[in-house]
Amino acid sequence: MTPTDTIDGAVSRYLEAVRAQLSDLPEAEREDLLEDLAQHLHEVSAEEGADLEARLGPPEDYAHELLVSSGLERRDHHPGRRSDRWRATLRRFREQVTDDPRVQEVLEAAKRGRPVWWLARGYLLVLLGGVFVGGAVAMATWPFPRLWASRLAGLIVTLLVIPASYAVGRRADRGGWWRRANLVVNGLLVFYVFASGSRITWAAQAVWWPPQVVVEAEEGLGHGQLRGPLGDITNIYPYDGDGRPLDGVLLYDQYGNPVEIVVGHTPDGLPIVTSYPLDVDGEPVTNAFPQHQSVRGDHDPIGPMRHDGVRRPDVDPRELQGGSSSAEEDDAMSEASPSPGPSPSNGAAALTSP
Amino acid sequence: MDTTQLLKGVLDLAVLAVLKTEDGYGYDVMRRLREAGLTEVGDASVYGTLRRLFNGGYLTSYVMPSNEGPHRKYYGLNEAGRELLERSAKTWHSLARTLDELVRDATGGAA
Repeated sequence: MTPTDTIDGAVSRYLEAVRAQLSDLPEAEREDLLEDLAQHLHEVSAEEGADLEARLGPPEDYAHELLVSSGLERRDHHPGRRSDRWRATLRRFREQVTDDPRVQEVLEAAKRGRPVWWLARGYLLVLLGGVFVGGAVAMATWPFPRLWASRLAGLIVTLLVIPASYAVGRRADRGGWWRRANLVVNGLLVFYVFASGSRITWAAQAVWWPPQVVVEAEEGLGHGQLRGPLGDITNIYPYDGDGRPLDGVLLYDQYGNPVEIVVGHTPDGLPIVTSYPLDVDGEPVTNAFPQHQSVRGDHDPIGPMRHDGVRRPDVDPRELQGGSSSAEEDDAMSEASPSPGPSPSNGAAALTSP
Repeated sequence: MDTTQLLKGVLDLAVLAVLKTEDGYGYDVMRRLREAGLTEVGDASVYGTLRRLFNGGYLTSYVMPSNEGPHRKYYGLNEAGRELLERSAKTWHSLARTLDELVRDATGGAA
């Protein structure tokens, strides 16, 4: 961008801003004033470059002073019209506030803190943008955003966006394109916060507080969808009270129905293939957990998504009811549940792995 | 003392005086006012005053082409403007004299 482009850009921006304030005037008057102003802006910018506001003050103030000194303010305005009084009151209030030295101190400190904001904003943009686009699962590997099912991708994007945000922030003072870009970046962040608000709350809960599982019941079909704070639940990892992972645990709901997970995709959108163990009749046992899953086309099994494994509660095993593992699954089921549990129908007691 | 407030009252007179010496365009008038010592005068005020005086019928206006940029709009005094300048100058002198006396009496002679 050549210096002349910047100056011309600054001049036309200032001109348009003043024009907006003069919209109540009859066209002839307004165009006369703006013609003078255009001339003046060219003279000023020839002397002092593109920073017109530093020399002339904000365009709104310039427009006001112009109106007052040219005696045109009252024309087409009924004195005391409510919007005029509001505007005047607001302006006086704003002037009083900004004249206060304490306010000026705060504004100074805020200005000095801007670089930190530019950096933080970059990180937040990636994190919240990830939540907006991909759902709360983007926060599953906090503090690294998880993008396109990959922590590495999240890291790379973060390392690109943070310096970019800083660069835009620094150049915003130059005005023109950079200033608009800075506004867009800030606006985007605000948008993400509002658009992803509830998901963020859920995700934050999952990250910083013990996880909760919410069962949402769908009408009519008698199927319940298991939903965790980070999205649909696609697998369940049972542990005994001593912290040992269990395999082949059969789960039933209070109606005696096997708990089935029928979700075709991981939260990242990858298709899941589940291989079920078979019972003695050769029928697949769909409620044995943890389920053995892999992504279609890929032979590696899908494990727990968190990089540090499953977060187990810190419980003294002696405090758990029916704590130690039992040999027969049926007995374990009925002992551990508060109300008498269902007994699995025949055929499920003995399992053959596929 | 708030110079800005004071200046607003007498800007008409100052602008007329500058234009009496020689016709000028907006930026030029402003520069001359500043050179004369009126550093607090705002850009918008000068342009607004020029416009108001022109609308009141005290100024002539014409355009001179310029090689360095947009053509410049020049202002000058007409007959009514010269009369206004004389009247305003008289009012000013009288007011200044009265105020001088008042202040001198109040501050015990140190004016």
